[in-house]
Amino acid sequence: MLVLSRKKGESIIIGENIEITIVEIQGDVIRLGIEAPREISIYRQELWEEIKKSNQEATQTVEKLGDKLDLLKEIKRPAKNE
Amino acid sequence: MQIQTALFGDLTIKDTDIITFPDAIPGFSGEHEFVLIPLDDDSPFFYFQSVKTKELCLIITDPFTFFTDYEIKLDEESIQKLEIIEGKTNIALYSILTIPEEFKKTTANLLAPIVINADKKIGLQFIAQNYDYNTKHFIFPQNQSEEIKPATRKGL
Repeated sequence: MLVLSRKKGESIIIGENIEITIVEIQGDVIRLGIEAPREISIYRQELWEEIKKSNQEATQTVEKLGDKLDLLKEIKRPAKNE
Repeated sequence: MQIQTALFGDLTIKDTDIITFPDAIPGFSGEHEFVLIPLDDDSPFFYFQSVKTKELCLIITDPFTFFTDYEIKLDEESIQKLEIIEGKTNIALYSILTIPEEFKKTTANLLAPIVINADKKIGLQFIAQNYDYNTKHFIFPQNQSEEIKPATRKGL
């Protein structure tokens, strides 16, 4: 991993059009400002990991669905004329 | 075209049925094309099947059937990515289900729904960053059945 030292107000540039600035440092909390093109998605890492884990777990439960599929099929949308 | 699925064998789909996900879906890198197949007539559930990978299939649901007051607001970036024209585009929103051994404990991911521009067939998994939703909301009531009373697990 590349490790760089930066001070408050300094930035790094990634590629041509991503700039990450150290906005504020308070104790062990660092606030980052990120400028990137719209098509680049930016997430907190733990949130991304949580969704990844949930997606993979969901797929595994579908693989082991078995007769639970029939239970699902019994559930209908709320009928419009009821 | 024909695609292979683990749940129902070979399946013939129309090219226009394919929903394209330009961004990576967390955990499914390299998967950018899916089809939605209803589980049954009038079912709130759908298979969300990868076009490329036969084993990759999720079951997703219309969240509003189970969570009537569910709401999220898409950010500008997602609206642009989905090419949504406000007030014109038909948008579909689904929650991914996790269906454990104990069926009653089925949960829906309300934190990161699948959002689709139904007109242009473009989709993404939206991450609702500023809400109190999480990835596991029970879709069935948890305290109405005497016999399946959870002894140790707390409700989420």
